[in-house]
Amino acid sequence: MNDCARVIALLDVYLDDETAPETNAVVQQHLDRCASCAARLQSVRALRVAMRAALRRDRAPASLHARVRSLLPAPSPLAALIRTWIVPAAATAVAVWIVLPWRTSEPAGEAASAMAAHVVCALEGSQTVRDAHYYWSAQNSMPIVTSGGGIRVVDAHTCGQQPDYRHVIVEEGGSRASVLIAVAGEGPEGRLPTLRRGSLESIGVRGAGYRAFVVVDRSGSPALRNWREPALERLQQFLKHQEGS
Amino acid sequence: MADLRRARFETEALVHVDELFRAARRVMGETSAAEDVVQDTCLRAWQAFDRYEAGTNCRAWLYKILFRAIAARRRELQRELAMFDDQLVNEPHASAVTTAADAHQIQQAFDELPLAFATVIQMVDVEGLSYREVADVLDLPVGTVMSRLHRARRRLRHLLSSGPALPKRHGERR
Repeated sequence: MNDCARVIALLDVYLDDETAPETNAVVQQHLDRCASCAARLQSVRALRVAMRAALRRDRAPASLHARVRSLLPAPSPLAALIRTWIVPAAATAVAVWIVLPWRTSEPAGEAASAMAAHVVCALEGSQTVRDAHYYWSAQNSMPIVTSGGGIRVVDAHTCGQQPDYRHVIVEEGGSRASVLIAVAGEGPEGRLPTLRRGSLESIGVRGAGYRAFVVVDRSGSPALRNWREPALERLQQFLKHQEGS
Repeated sequence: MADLRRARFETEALVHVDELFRAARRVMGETSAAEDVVQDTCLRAWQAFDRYEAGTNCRAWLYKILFRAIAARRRELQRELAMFDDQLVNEPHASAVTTAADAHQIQQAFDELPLAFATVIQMVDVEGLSYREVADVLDLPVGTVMSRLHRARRRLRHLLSSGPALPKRHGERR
């Protein structure tokens, strides 16, 4: 078997990324100097792309998505509020709502890091409880969400390496949700942190008493391409609700 | 932490519903049966979600549950999936790799494949699972997955390059 025959026999496995590193190197070296095999690889790759396009078009019916979700316990009213901030149809998106007291302000970079850490922390549930009462005793239980009453803080801890932020778990009617709160700090007034890190993006609006943020993970979700307008609208609705209550 | 558990499940597991549905329909052959088995899979996954280790391969875990659920409905599944492993079938070579096939031709050729072949192509070429993941899902040695995939691809390329379907063999679908 000549070199070309050997390489052609390996092309599929090579494209599958299942060849050993040393085999990869041999195949790559051959492809670099053999136009015929390189063209063959392109053909195999093009067919693979066409197959994915053709055979991944089908999606589960919306009714199945609904049936599957109906199997899960209903989210608490508080969690439901959070969920309404997820831009519709963003099945792979994660949105986290954050409400901050208006007087706090911080450099955008730190806020971005804290938000990113919060998203990771909230998703992975990697919570390390620290000084749970420090912030809340100092701040005299700042109202995070005023609707419904009965909100209780059950946990607070630092999020990632951001000592000026607290990831807070609040409870309402037996259900819990996670919120990111900035500990009061000094800084240029009124700056809204924005975040663009990898697939994470945030947007914020300010009201009379609060600032609110939504963080969206846009990975793998084309539906989120136009997420900003609906997110802004919901944030404004929420602020209006907060300030009216 | 019911909400957090639910959020994690939605983020890690339910994002794969479309993919599970495609795999289920490929095997079950009809939409309503595929929907039922995917719903069953999600319910089982939700019930066992505490035992799923965060950060490990949720997709492969779901596939495994799916194929168990399918096997419980289709007793002949294992036999169908192993149909060609014990036969020395030489799949015909395509003279060249076809690149001009359109979506309709690909779908048609794919539908002509025996279930054992269609399943591995769907998992690896279409959905991007690794050989190891497919082996775990189908409970096969990796080497069997590789040889089955090799023959499946040859058959598919032959179908695409030759146009009309090959005559059916015993045990093949449709």
